[in-house]
Amino acid sequence: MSPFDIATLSATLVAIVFFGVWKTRHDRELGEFLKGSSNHWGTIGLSVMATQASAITFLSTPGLAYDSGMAFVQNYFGMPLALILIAVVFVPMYYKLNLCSVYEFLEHRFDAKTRTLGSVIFLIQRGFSAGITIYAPSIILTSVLGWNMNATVIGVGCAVILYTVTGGSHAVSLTHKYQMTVIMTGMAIAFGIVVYKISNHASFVENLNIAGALGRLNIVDLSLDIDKRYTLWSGLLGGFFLSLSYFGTDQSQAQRYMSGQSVRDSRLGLMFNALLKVPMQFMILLLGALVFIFYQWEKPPATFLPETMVQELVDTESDAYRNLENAFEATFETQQTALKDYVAALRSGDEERMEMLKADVEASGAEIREARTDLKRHIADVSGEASMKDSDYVFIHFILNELPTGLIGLLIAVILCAAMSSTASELSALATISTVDFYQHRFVKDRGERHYMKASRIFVAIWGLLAILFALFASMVESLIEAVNIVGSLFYGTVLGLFLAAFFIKRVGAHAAFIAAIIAQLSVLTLYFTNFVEIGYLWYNLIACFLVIVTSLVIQAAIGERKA
Amino acid sequence: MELDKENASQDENEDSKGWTILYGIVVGALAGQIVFYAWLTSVFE
Repeated sequence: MSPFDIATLSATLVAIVFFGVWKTRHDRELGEFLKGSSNHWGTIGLSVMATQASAITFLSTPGLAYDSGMAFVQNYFGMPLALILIAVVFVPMYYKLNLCSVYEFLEHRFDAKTRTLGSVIFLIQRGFSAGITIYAPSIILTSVLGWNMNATVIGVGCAVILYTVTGGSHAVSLTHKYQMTVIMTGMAIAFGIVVYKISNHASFVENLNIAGALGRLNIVDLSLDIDKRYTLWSGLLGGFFLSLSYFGTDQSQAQRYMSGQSVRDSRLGLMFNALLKVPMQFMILLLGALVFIFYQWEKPPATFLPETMVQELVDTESDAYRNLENAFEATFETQQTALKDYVAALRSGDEERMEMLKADVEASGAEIREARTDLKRHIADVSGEASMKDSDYVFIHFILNELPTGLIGLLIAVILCAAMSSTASELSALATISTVDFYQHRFVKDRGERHYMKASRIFVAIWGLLAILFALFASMVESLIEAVNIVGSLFYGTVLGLFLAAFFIKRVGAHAAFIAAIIAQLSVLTLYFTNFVEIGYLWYNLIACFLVIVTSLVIQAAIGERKA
Repeated sequence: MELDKENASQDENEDSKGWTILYGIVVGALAGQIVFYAWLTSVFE
């Protein structure tokens, strides 16, 4: 990176951290620290969006579209419907009870032990993922930019701890606004640049035709095949339940929209996301598809893995590697001819010729894909690594090689802002639950606001340091990102089941709900660890949720009517 | 007193109508997007 890029990056990050600390330096109220400061709906909307959008969203999502198209957007189709349900049912109840922790609701509806169960599950899964939120972008940025891994993790972690310890939830909401401004600006500029660059070769619509021919505009899939990962139906149903548990029962999100001035502001903040999240994901995926088109016109590297990483893994001077690289280059030359002929046919309007040349583009695209797969397989075989997926490095490669000086620094700031925004929400939520549900509720009762404020700040620091330690240690563990998703799926369903039973099934009482939750949790863990049935881990969400509801009804029927 | 209650109830109804319209817009926007994305898929397939 040039000194100008480093200056842009440093100025952006330092300004946001300084702003967060400065604006909240006089905050003395516990409510403000834990819940935020009566935010306007616009701030809530941006804060909810910034919490969900981690660095991986901006690094991996364009790479996903590059690799396999835009079908991933379907996963978000259930989200607006879940947000409506949360706005109608969950938000008024949370306001009515004036909650700091969403798990307090479980105590109001059931009992203290059910609340503790919900809080413990949250601390396990969110504590685990806070480390990954720092680790995942750091591993990619350090390998590409040559930064020191430990320094990056500690730097990002300490910056977040600094403003979250100072201003708590209030500082998190304030900084989210500016982080989202940087993120949106950076992504819009990257989008404009890729559109400009591909327009040198063909018009926008002609480029979309090429993307379609090469299978990158496969947005909606109406197939009923349950083996397919992304379809309209799995997106509507699975996306609905996932969003319901994430936005409705996860403190890191609930804390964002509960920081509103009123029910109205919280609802509007959620509807802001219900309207904008799907188009935002669509635009990020379209950016990836356009980067894919750019690399059909301009020769991409045979693999997007950083050069130093490839050199460490294989002998790049060996005959085997050179042959695979040459094979890739030859397929690229063939495809150039096919693309130019196809664009000429599109301009001529000759439909028969268009269809024939489209088939040529498809065939040459398949050859390129095969050549890239062969090379990745070779790297995996020689290095002994299980998978050599390079799609996470596609967008960062484009940024570093195609963007002008100054904008590179801004786009790296986008990635780090995203990492900081989601980590800050997680630390603030973890500290709130530790203080409200455990420290204040179980151990040190009836002390003044200043005491709990101090305790909350200490918990932010403790969770922040644990996240940093985890991120430093994570480099020694394989497939950690997947491990976090699995842990989330193993526990999310139980909590969602408890909340749904609490809201919608009046006849279920405390004992029945608690026993059902334990049974559901143990069943899911047994299913997972014994590998009794081979299913994708996302299904554990639905299984656990279903088990809690059905088992609680059965237990309640067995023990008799619930006492009023 | 009765008049206050009547006004409050009227405000609540109007408020509730406003939310219903907003939720309708969200569902409509989602449906519109799905149709648009399906159209894009079929046109550029």
